[in-house]
Amino acid sequence: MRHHLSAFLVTLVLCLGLRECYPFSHFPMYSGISRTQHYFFLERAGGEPVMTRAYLGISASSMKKMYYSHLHELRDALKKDRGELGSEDYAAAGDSLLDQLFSGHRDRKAWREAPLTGEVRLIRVDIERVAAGISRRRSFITSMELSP
Amino acid sequence: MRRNWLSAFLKAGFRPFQFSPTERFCLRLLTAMTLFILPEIGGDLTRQSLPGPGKFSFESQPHPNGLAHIFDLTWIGDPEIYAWVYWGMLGLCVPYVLGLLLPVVLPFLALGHICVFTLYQSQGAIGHNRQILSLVLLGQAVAVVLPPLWRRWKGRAFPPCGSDEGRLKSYMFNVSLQVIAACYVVAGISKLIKSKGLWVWQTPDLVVEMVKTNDQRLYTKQEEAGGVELVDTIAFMTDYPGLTRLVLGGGFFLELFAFLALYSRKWALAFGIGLFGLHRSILWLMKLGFPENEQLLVIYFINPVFWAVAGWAWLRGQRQDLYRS
Repeated sequence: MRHHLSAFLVTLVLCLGLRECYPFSHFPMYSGISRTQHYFFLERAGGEPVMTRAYLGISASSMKKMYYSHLHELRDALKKDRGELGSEDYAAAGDSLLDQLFSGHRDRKAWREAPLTGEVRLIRVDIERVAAGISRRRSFITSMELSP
Repeated sequence: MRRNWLSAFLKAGFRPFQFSPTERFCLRLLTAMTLFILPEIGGDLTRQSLPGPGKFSFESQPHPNGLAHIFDLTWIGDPEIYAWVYWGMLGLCVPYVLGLLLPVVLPFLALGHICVFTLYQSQGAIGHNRQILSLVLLGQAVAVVLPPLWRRWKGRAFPPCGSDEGRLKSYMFNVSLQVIAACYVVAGISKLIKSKGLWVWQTPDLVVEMVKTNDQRLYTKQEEAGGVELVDTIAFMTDYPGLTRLVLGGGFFLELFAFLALYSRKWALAFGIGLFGLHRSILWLMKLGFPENEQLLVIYFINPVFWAVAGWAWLRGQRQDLYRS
């Protein structure tokens, strides 16, 4: 009987120990709550937003995760700490992201609404909880010229 | 006195549940269905879990995760090969539901599910709603493979399920319950660690997360963004931080103590309803769905099949110790 909960304990230890190693995960969703948050979105040169689901088949939330995968890869390659990263590094991670999203060989015909052409900008929006409510601040990260 | 109460409580519970043949069949059937469809109450009744043929296509694994660190899984992302994988998994579900050749069928089913979603999660954006089903399948595969191997190697019964035939047949379902409970406890512990124990206190700041999530939806698919409801909820959370801590803190403790669901059928039902409600609240607040989690909670924790059988037996005056089984 004392062995009955062994599967529970093994799963618990593997998930906490391996953190993100599919199918094991430490399930970090909303584990750290902060007064500040940020996200990314895409827009055309004219300022019109590009809906990620229609053009890329992914959510803006997934796009943020992909951005950070590129940033972590770059940080490891440059052997820099998080605090040492400069605006040029954030832009470089953005370039890698846009390259993955738009220049890959993946067949996106099933998802894409219509071909996207012209300049596409990656914008970061910082959100903060302030006394007066919620403040938003946007900043330009990088851009890419898409040929027809 | 208190110690005696606690000792009696612990001795009385945390025993493996016994699953009747009807219940075992229904649980396998419902689990197999969860692999493919996740019907949404009042919404899309044909929502898919495993992407259908033609809807899964990846030519690379730019940010490997799990098995993708060791193996190149991109071959599964070929639409033609993926169609075979999909139909193969559907075919394997037939013997699985019938309870035939489980030590052969389940490892392939688990491996197929894990490989497909490992490739999906190797694109740089790790989501957290697929793991639970992969882990349940993996747990079931281990639960049917390990006991006979153990007996062959060690010459005695596998300790967690013993040599009793009924317990052996129920073992894979008990493992499923334990895996699901562990996923929630892990989520609770992660919150505890990351927030340094202050998670409940910080919950009013979740309004920032809500605004972020809503904005992201606006840039994902414009018509999906929240409206007046969201503004009202944010205003409520800002105006009543104490009440927000009380409500959201309840969800946190449900996760952290989810292992209590393994105590008895009644506790499993109570935690199942609580955690299902938690997911519905998250969906309402954050527009963030965990359909696999919800469906597995209904199947294994709330378990309407068991309660229907128990209720029928009770009506016929055959009430035995069903709740404790």
